Amino acid sequence: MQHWRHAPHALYVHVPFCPSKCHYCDFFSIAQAHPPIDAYVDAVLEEAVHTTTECTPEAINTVFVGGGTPTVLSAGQLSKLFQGLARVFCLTRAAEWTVEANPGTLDIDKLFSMREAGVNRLSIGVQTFRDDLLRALGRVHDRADVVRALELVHEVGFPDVSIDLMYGLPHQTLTDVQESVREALALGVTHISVYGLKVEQGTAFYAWQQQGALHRPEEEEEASMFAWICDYVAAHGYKQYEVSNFARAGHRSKHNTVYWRNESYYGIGAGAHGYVRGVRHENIKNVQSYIRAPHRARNSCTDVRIVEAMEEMMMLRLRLLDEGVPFVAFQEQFGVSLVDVFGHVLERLVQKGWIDITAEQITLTNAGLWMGNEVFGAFLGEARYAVHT
Amino acid sequence: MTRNFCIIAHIDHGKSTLADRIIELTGTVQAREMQDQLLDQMDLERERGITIKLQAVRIPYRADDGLLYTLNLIDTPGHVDFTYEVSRSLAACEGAVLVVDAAQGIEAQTLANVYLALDNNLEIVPVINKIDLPSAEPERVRQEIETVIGLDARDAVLASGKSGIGIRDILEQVVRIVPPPKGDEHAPLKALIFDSHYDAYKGVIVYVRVVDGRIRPGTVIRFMATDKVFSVIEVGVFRPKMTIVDELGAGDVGFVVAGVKNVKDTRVGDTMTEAHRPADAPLPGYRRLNPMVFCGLYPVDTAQYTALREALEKLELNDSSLRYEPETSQALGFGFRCGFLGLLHMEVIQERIEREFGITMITTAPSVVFHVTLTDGTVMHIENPAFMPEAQRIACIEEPYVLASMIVPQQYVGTLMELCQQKRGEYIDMTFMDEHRVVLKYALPLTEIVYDFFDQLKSRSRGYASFDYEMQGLRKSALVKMDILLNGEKVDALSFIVHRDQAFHRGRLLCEKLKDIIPRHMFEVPIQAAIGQKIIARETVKAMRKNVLAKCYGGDITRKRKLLEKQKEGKKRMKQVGSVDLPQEAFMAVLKMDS
Repeated sequence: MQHWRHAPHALYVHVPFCPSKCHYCDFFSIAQAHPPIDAYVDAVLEEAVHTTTECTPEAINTVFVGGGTPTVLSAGQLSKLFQGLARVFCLTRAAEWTVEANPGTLDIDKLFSMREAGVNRLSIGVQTFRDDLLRALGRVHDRADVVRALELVHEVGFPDVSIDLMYGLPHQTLTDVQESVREALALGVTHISVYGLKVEQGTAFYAWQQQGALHRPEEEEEASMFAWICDYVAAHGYKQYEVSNFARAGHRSKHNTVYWRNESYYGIGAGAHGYVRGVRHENIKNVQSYIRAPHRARNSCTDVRIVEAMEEMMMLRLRLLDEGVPFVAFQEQFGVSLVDVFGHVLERLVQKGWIDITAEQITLTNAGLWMGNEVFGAFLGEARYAVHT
Repeated sequence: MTRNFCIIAHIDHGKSTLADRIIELTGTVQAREMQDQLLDQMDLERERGITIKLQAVRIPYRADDGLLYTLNLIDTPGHVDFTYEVSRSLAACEGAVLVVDAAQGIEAQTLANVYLALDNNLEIVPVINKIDLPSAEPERVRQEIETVIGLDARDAVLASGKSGIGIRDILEQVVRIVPPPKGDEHAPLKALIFDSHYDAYKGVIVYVRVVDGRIRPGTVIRFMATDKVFSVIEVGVFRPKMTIVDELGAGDVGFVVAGVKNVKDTRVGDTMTEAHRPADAPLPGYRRLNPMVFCGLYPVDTAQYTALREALEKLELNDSSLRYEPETSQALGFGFRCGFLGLLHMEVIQERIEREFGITMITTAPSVVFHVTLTDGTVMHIENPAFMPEAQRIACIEEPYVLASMIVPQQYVGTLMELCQQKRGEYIDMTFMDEHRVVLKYALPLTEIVYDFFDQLKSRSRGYASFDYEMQGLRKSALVKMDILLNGEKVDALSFIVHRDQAFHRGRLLCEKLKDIIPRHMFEVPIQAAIGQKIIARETVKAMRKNVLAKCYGGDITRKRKLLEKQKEGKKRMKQVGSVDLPQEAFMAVLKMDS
């Protein structure tokens, strides 16, 4: 049996509550005055038990609790959730355990509870250090909150701290981006993610864009932001190991690397996605129904066909800039050679100067990084592979 | 005891709903089969709420006089583009129910259709519909019917298709006013072919109105114009599903199956007679309409050329007004130049090809037929702007004009006159229909109507103006051909004909528009507009700098994949012209420039 049919070594838990909905965000979350958090924590733990009975986990190496805003939970609720998860999944201190945190919702008690339960990595959603831009995004925190939060984080002592920033925001200039990146690095983080704004349907930004009321930077301006970020962050000792992610040596996100390597992961919570034994599932996006029947959380399950898995390996692994797609990884998972399946695509992409091929692996070139979607898309529907039955 | 009638109305005045209520009332269709717009069988008709093809239905009706009547209702399209279909159904009837919206009153298409009916000597049953609307003014509308059309509207039925008011009254009036068909059962067979459709199992199914004589299985028939002879296999009526009967007699409306394999053998408007006992003369038949609007249809995937040809052949079977011939474009490859009765007709055909045959197409901007006289005296008919001869060989160009009638509330007259002036219109006439509404007449170049005239008319009158037109003939105009160059290469499919005075303005606007429509490429794409060798406008699509998902999708890989697939799909829908990918909107940009 190929290793991707094995039980996952990664766990994602979704917490779909937010103090308010940001204007750009289309992740599943609800912003209401009195969210049913206690009931939700119980439901998550029930789903966890159900999941592990269905597919018994081996060692879990990474946990990621995301949202939403997990830090809207109180210290007590956080403790209960994390201790419960640790029990059900037999987590050890060796696992990378990340929690997404919003600077406005952090306090010292919550930080201690998390650290005590085994959380060793925080991913802090800062987005920008300019208060007016933060307000325009619909964020609830300001710059002062970020500084205060980071002080507390250092006080409690988390070995890994990451900051999320965004570029290409309405009314944002290159100078704004430069200031935010400089300030983030000055806070002594080990990891930084810089995401480009994408306007998604169903968000406030989308509605404004349709009305012509969203003033985003021109493509040239946005490109110069991305170019500056790549150069500057790399020059300060952070390696760009994924399109939007930079880390000091030894501090890459192991959990996100699971996604990019197209490996499997458990997904728990309302709206969570999981990939278990070759099946992708999405959980229902309704907190009430989820709480009522957490063991029936799966909204849709899709068997990933082998050619799709091949294409997805290409489109995901190529995002890892230095690792790329190792020939052995492909061969090991699918039992056929990458060149046999995608040779014709590789040839085109090499000609365009978008990929490099060495004896060990395929990686994106710098030009290929900039045209990533063209490269990733080139593999879709192109696998030359006959399924033997 | 037969009455053959049709319903005529302006679009949205409630014709199809009334037809539904009539069918319901008479129990022609079982309740479980009932659905809205019953006679509109195409998905497209239901979605757009319009009637495209005519349909016929036979309705048994027990009238107040205690007698059982057979009513044949023949549905008609309301839109000007389908005048041909309307005239076909009118010729098969003795009466027409004229439906007028109680709130909106008489509109441009009401007039056009009512005059067609009067020309065909039909008796008119006026009906004022939607009387339960809060804004209904049945008395005003009754006045309007009397003063504007000159019909006696004292007995006009007040009805509501929505609430089912007045439906019986309509049928009573039909029985009373519409005369029974006058045919002679014993005379030689004379039947008017008013439509046909192709059935994969039975061959061509011919829709007829029998004028004299009778048809039954075994009758040997002859089509008088094509002189083809067939033996009848079965005959039937529409209830509204096709139902086989023993015979069709004088005055009946129904269908005939006679093993006809080729639709061209059964020309709509032709007369069907008996082979052994022929009628002395055919029925008057129809005036065949010439297509007025032309455009090129090209498959995005060249491998679909044959599929496109087959689609056109199939559509032609049921739509004799559609015309097409093969055409080659340097930019688009092999395709067809198609002729349509009007813009709506064009859109309907395009949509049917995409939907019913699954062919992705590029449609070039519609154009009219220009009559070009060369310096050596030869006359050319130019249906495709790309084929316009060089300016120095041309002595003069003539373009088709229409007489446009607009019915409009008084306060919008000024803005509509301004619009007509901008569109090179010539003022003809203005009359007051009543104290609020005006009938405005202009002679306008058809090519301006093909552009965005209708959209402009609607937006400038806030939707209150209605519009209809008839062909008027050719006029000389100072026209020039505008070429568009992308990346230095002329794209023949983007060429268009424009009046000299508007050329600079339109050229500049089109370049600006294309700049927004053409996606960024890996290289810079210059867009130029040229008249002959002279470049009159230029814009540039900048090169693509960055195209990479830089968003965190967490574990939602499916999302990521779909996004990439969508991007790829979008590219497939585009046509590669030289090195530039063009989306469909690029070819239509020329139409949308003033909005």
